[in-house]
Amino acid sequence: MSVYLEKLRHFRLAIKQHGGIIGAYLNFYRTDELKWGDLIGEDKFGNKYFQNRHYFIGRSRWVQYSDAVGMDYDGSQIPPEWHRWLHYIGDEPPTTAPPVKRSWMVDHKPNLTGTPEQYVPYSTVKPKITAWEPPKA
Amino acid sequence: MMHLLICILINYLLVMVAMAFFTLLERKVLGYIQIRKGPNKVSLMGLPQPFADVIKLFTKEVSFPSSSNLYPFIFSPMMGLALALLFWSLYPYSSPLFFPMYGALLFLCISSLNVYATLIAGWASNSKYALLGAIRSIAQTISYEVSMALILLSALIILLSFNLILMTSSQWSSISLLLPPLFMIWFITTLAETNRTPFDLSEGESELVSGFNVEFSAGSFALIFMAEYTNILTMSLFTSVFFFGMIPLGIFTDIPLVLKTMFFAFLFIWVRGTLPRMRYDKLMNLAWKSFLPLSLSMMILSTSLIIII
Amino acid sequence: MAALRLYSVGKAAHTVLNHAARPVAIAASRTFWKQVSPPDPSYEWRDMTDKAANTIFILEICKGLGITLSMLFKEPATLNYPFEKGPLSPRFRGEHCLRRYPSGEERCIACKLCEAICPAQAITIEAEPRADGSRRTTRYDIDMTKCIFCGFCQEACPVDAIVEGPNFEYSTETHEELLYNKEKLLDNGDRWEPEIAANLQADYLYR
Repeated sequence: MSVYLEKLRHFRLAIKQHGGIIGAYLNFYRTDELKWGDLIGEDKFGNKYFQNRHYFIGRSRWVQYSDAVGMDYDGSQIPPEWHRWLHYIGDEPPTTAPPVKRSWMVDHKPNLTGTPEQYVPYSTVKPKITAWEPPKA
Repeated sequence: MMHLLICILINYLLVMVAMAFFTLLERKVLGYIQIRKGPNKVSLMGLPQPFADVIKLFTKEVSFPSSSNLYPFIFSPMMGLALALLFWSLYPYSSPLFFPMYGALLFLCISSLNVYATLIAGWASNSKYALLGAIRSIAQTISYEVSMALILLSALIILLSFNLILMTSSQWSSISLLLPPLFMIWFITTLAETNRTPFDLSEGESELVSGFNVEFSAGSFALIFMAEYTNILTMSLFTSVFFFGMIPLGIFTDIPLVLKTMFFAFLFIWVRGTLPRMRYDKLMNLAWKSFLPLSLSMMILSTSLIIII
Repeated sequence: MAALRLYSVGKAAHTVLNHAARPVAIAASRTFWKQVSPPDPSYEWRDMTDKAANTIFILEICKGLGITLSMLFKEPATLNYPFEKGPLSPRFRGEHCLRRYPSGEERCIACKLCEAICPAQAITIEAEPRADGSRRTTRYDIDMTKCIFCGFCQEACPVDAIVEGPNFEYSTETHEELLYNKEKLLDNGDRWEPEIAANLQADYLYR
């Protein structure tokens, strides 16, 4: 019996965390799941990271994608420092163990395939043969 | 007349919707049996998944094998679905539109005709795999048809009626309680009739190159698929009509029948999630060497029961 | 009737002859044998009832149904990707990156060891001395569609320049987007360096 009461309690907590019934419904529609947990941090794109050890490993850490992307969420939108924590490579989130910042590092970009900004390969060397240019008379 | 037509159309439409969601139920239940979730990404929890599937299948390009017999190839899936839907005009509503006197006989007729859809589909594909698949599944269906008719006969001997509506409204105690083994072989026979899992030799996707439907794609494949699932629902319906009594509950009389049908439909999925496929020779052995004698002796038993009582 | 009697006499004569011939026959009579087919089932009343009971009650099938039903109520092991992600190793071999020294100088010295060891021959390198006289690559192309992600390139690299980063979400819609050149690889390095550095740090005892 207490197991079911516990489940009910978790459900109520989840609804409370997502800001009432409507918020919970919207979140449920987006993620197909209602979970509750501690907010570990937020990255500069607005993705929120949560943890709850009540769930098994693999489900105990999760991300709530920024509202800006709507339903176009994608796994590649997670920046590398959080990527490490979210994939359980390390247990320290960047909030407690911030990575070393160098001047030449650049901002994270999601996978841009299918957009105008996609990567298009080009040659990085000078062409070894050139077209013949007719000598000017 | 118009009124009747509309009612029948609504009936068929609802059956199609039920069938659509039955496919979803199957995928979900099989998923959860294997400790995973079924489809859950389409809209809310994947609920409109069957509609997405239907739209996808019917908007795909229709292709025909160049050597197929075109008209049978096109019309056999339609025939399959039409026959599968025809069953549902026998649905025993508590306030029915018409009273088919020999409903049980019609049921037998249609279920025997169902074989022809498979036969034509397999033959018209003009491919040896489709033909072999068709032969395989027809041999199975016909074999089980025999024992199915005999089992049904012993049930009808006790019920003393061919009329499904009368049957459901007057059958206060159920045959499944009276003759549990009869009900058991009936259920197994329905599994074999609808080509479901322990006996799904007609489309062993992994081992046998699909079945009679290898050459079908897009819309015609969807029709075959729909016919198959409608048949499962049909069989669950008739299982509950023939073998389970109905308790009159006033305006709620129809509900227990629906619940029983749902339970048997679920049982079909449950069995699929549990049992591995049977070997073909064992399947045939079961039909001819076990079920046929058993159903014959059951018929004798039920006849003597009726005479004694 | 006479014919029948003749037949039976003939049959009796055959047996008599057979018995008479036995002592002089060459083949020894069979004294023992081995049964190779499975033994016949017992037709004792008790065994038969046992078998019938087993068949009728189909106990094993019911047990199996019970197990599947119990599985139905178990928590699914599904991860809700992209919201939840599965555990990875620090040594995970994903998308390639070219790293830099903390000063910002690129590490690669164009030794071409990675090109030599690459079993899929996915790497193409061309080198030239730079303006300041140091040896650098002018072309460092990896055909990601050829790569088999064996990790030999990062093993071979003497300066930890080429590494396989932790990113695996770089699928593309076209083939050409996966033909990485040097700029793309360096850009990857600049983007993923925080995580690459941390992963190398986590693994340094074993390298």
